[in-house]
Amino acid sequence: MLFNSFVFAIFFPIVLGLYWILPLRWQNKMLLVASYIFYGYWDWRFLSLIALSTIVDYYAGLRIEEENLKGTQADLKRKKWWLTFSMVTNLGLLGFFKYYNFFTESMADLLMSIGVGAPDMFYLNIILPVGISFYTFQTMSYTIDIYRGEMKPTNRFLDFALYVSFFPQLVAGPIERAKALLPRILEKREFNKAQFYEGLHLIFWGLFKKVYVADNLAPLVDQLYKSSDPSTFHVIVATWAFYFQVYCDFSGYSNIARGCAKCMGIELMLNFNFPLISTNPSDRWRRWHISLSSWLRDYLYIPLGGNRKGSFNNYRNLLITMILGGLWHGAAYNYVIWGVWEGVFLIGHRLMRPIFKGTEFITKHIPYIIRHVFRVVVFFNLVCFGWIFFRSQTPGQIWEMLQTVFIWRGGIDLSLLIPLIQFAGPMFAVEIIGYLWSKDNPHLFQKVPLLLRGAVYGIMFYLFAMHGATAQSFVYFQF
Amino acid sequence: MAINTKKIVRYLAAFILFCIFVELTARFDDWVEYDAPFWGTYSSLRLRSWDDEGTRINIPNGDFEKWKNNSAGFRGPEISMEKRPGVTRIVCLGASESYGLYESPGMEWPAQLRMELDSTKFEIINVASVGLPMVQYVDYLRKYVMKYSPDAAILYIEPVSYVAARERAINNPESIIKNPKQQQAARQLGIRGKLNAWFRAVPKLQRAIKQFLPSSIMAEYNRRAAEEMVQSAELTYLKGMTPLDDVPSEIIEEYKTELKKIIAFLLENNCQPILCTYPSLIDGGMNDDNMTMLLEARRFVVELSLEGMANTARRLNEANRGVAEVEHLPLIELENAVPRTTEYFADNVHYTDTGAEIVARTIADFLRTNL
Repeated sequence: MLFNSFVFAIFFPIVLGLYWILPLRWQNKMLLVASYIFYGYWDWRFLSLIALSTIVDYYAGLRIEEENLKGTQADLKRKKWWLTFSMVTNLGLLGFFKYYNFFTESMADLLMSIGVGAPDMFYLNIILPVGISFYTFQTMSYTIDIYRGEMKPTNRFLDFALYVSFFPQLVAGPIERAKALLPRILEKREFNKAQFYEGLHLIFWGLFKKVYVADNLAPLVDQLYKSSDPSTFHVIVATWAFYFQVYCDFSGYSNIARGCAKCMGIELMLNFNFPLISTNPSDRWRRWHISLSSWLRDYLYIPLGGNRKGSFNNYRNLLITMILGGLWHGAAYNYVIWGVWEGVFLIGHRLMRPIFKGTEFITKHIPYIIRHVFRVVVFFNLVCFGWIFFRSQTPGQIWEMLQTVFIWRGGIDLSLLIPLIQFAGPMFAVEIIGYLWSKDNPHLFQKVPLLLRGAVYGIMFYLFAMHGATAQSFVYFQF
Repeated sequence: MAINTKKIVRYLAAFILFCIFVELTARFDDWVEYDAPFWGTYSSLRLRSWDDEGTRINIPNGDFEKWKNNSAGFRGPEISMEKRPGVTRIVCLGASESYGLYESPGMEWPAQLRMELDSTKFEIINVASVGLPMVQYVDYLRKYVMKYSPDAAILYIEPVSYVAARERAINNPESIIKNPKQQQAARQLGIRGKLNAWFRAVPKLQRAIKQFLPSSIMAEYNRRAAEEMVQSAELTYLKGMTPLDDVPSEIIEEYKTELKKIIAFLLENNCQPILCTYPSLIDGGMNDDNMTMLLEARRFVVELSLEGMANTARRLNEANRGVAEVEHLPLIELENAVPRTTEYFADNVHYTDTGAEIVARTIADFLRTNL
């Protein structure tokens, strides 16, 4: 079920109405049923995967805690076994459904390259279950946190099932940690008018970003990326547009997810904190897809050693984390290359830090605002460079795009910028004002006077209703 | 209590501001997209009217949304009085299906015909006027078209409307075709039209809501709405009479006479008439897919039943063939040229871009080999 569909427009008010009528113990049961309907509306067969992941992690969590309490050496071994069982199940599901064909095809290519023919019987026609990357990561965090002794398991199976399948964030995040979301599911929720309005605002703002910005930029990006002989300016504009598209698509989804949850009195974590104004790679990953980047940091980068074992190991860990982060986005080489780029980018930034420091005696004479804007603009374009790897379909296309970027060809057709300004302009203006207004809270409207809010909502509503593109799936569903 | 009142007033004021800004954005949008006046009323009345003698005309330089008339009141590029040497000037005479309704700008069939043909040999002028009844063709040609000395005229006449208009004129002396008072009234917008012109956001939002609703719900809604409109039109125009299932022979003869009048007028003015048979979606075989579309079409011609519409289309096309044969005139066969599906027809008689392309290509092929 898409957030930007008629079915959801009927589904959500019904769920919300029922939710606030029912007492707590029925609220969660109803939400669980609603979440399964929400997911099953796409393909009911894949509910079995969520159910399997739920059952395995629920019991693994309980068993790990049991062994934790006993505390003998043998118990610790069993505890590890249960964690491994949970990991293998979750990563097995993810690996099979998402990466099986990628690896078999890669293997076949490799065998072909050394002159050994590979039978195509290993290729399977597998449908990627929507949201599998999100909910498997979410459930894994539960067993890992219990294993580490950072949280206690719940013995309320249905509530745990709701934590795994909570429909607002089920298919595209934010990837919530059990220690954060589970207590909110277990505790009693009171209706809070301010929180409810904030939720409605987030839903509206998310829909605006998705329907008006992302879905209108999508055809522009597709068209530009499909053109046979693009000019350099063409590729640059297409990549800028893609950045706005993917940002508004994904952060729009997160806004709607957080808004829906807020309307039910449940807080979800902030997933995007205006990443468009980042000034360096570390800053960017603190602002972009925060729930994934923090997950990778806590469950991959730090266990690998983080920055604890010298520079070389630190850089190696960064690279591994970013490559796996790239692969998380999809089973294709372009995502791997994108991951490498992001890793190299992070490493490069760390290596360059002393040089930046060394130039401070010059740059400090330039007014801060100019320095900051300059950094934002330069960094924005560097991030866009990475999006070329992400958006291109094949390594061949990546090569073609890079050639076009580095060897200038064609003129500058400023009319290409018109749709970019038309669709991304209003969103960017609102977010930049929001950022200047309140740096730690990117949502402008909560603090704006009511009358001004009415006027701005009027403009946004018109653009959303009249120029919103027809319902398209969210980009991040494919991940 | 005082606090509540204050709160209500604040929320009410915010809501009013919300509505005002929706409307202002709609106007700004029209201004940017269509160069529409920001403050004035904005409706399709800017495109067409009646002249002092009651002939249906397009307003010179009139524009509304995607439609634009040139300074002569025709859709298409500006034209000069003088013909270029060696160029055959061809006018396309018809009503809304030729003026263009659902097609993207520049995709109406006369415009596509212009693109199809070699501009050094042919000049195509779209002189179609929306709602122009056949009985006014001669008047219209005399007053507005012949001064451009066309060499040929493609007569693209919609048969179903002819029969319905004729019946309506007989049954209703107040018919708009003959009654200047009604014409005057039609130059003004009705209450709904005025509201839509004042609050431009309203019809736009209605369209947006319709697009958002699932097609199954919209199909049912459209079918019911079309049925209601047909019933209401039947009450107004039929006054208890039964709709015609077939065209009486005398109407066909009248049609032929009217057509011959137009032909004679054109020939007198050294303009070669080119007749066409007329394609329409309806062919007597109705299904659920096009039933709503046909009902929507029927509300304009309630004097005919659905079967009557199909029969009229068929028999008057036959009449066109007969007249062409008797008068030794070229005739372009279009009746079956456009496949009867919604890929080509946006309603019973208006085309999609693709439908218009087929019409244009068929006519272009004919002109290349016959002129």
